[in-house]
Amino acid sequence: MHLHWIDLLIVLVYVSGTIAAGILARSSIKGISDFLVAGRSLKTHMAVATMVSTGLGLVTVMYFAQEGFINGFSPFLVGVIQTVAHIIIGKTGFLVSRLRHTQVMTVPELYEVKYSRGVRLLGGSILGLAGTLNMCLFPILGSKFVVGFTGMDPSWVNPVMIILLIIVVFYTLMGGMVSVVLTDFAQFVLLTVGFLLGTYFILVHPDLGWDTITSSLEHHKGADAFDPISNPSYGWIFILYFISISFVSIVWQPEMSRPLSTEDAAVARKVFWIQGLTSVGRAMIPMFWGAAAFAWTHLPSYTGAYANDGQSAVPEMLGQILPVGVAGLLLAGMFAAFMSTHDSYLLAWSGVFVRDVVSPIKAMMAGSSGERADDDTWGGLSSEREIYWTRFFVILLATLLAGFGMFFIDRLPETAFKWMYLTGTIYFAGTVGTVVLGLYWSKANRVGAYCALILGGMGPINFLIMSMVPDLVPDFMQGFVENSNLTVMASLVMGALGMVVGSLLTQKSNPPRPLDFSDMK
Amino acid sequence: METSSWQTIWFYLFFIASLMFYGTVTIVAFKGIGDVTAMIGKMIKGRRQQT
Repeated sequence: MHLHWIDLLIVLVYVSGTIAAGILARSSIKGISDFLVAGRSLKTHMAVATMVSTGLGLVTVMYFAQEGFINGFSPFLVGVIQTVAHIIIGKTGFLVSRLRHTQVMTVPELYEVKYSRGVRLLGGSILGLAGTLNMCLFPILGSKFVVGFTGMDPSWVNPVMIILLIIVVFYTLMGGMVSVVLTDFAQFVLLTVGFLLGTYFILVHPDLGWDTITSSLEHHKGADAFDPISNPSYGWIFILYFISISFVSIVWQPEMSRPLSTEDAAVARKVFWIQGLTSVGRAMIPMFWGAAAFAWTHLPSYTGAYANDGQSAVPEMLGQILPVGVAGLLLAGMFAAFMSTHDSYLLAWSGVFVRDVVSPIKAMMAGSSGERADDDTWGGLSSEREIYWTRFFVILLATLLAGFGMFFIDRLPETAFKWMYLTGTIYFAGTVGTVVLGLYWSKANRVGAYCALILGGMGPINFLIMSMVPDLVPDFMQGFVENSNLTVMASLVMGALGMVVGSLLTQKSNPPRPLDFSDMK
Repeated sequence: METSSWQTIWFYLFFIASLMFYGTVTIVAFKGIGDVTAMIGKMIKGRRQQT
């Protein structure tokens, strides 16, 4: 390990501080809405900080960095699209305002309000599955960062991952969303300082700098490193997909839980456009680090082992070029980012499993009418039991993540970034019909919702299965296995078509439930 | 489009994106610190009442 004791001390102080905050937060949890959405009391700037932090986890840094390492500056376009989409959403209130107005805590709750309990059950299951698959990479990539950055032997990746997960689970179980908000704020500040200093030291390093990085990319990768249209990893289909998904992906539970935690729809909208200003930087800065790591590992003087490993090269480079103190600060920031994203996601997916799968099943078995009670429960589990089961699922999910990290990390069909969007699309594709059309199209009904969820989710799941057995895939399907771009785009279209066709064919037998937005702010 | 044109575009966009990111974070951090302090104060108060 090449970290100085001062760096280790900075990390230790941070970890101790956050654990103390988690213990403190425990006393403010009175019911399930405190636990999952902080009692819907978040003010604008706090909500922005926590939302930016959730979207800027250690895993985000790692997968964007890997994308920059492999594809150079071409993926910069991803950040530009995200920023434009988020600012438009914030200014128009698209989806955000209406969702916040419905007072739901999770998106599948909308399915019960708009469609039926069965749709909520199916939607919750698909969302939980997509979220769990999506999150599988988080712990292992976080651990790879710590190991690469500190210069520990690669054999420490799995033990470090388990230690990190134990700390995060303990912290999440303590204070729910309140403790999440506190770590998010700390991460927001720490990681930004780390980003600034990390980028500065890359730009002024005698072996790196903007011109050296650009020349190295051009020499080794050619035009594909700069042109997202000619780069086969992207192209027009991916760009079209990413524009669509940038508008729809706001219904991703961990991110949407922030606007849903705000005081009202007006604050929710404001949160979106302010955090949208940071989206492009959140993507470009780690991608630039990845491109720098590529140049670093292709220097004639490079003697490390990560010349072809975009996941480990960035932490290795940062660990070597940052001075004492700055390295500790960045590691504490990254550790904060690890904790912040994990606790948010663990809480979000556990909340979905409990509120949208377990609780509805309990309510159905008990023959409950399914009306929302004053304590935000729906006739299934009580508020206290929901907290209990949410904590149980936090532990269960963390165990699953550890298992995936240890046994599946080397079998990913694509880059970590593509994995995130592929698994997310299992759910996003259905939401094009169920949420977008459900909120804005008066004819959207229960049958359409089932069609949208099932048809939308099929494409990405098929891709995952087919990519594991490529030899068995028939020739006419090869286009869907070469990369996921065509599959994910087709899934979005299928999700929307499922809703339109399913609803139009069954308007008389399944009349749509109207939603009232007349008094929305 | 020429590779050199893409390089120029990304150079300026990286600069603008960094400014937007650090600027927004700085403003939000200054304005949000009061909310965080209030939340911690509320938690400490709740803990004292419990004990």
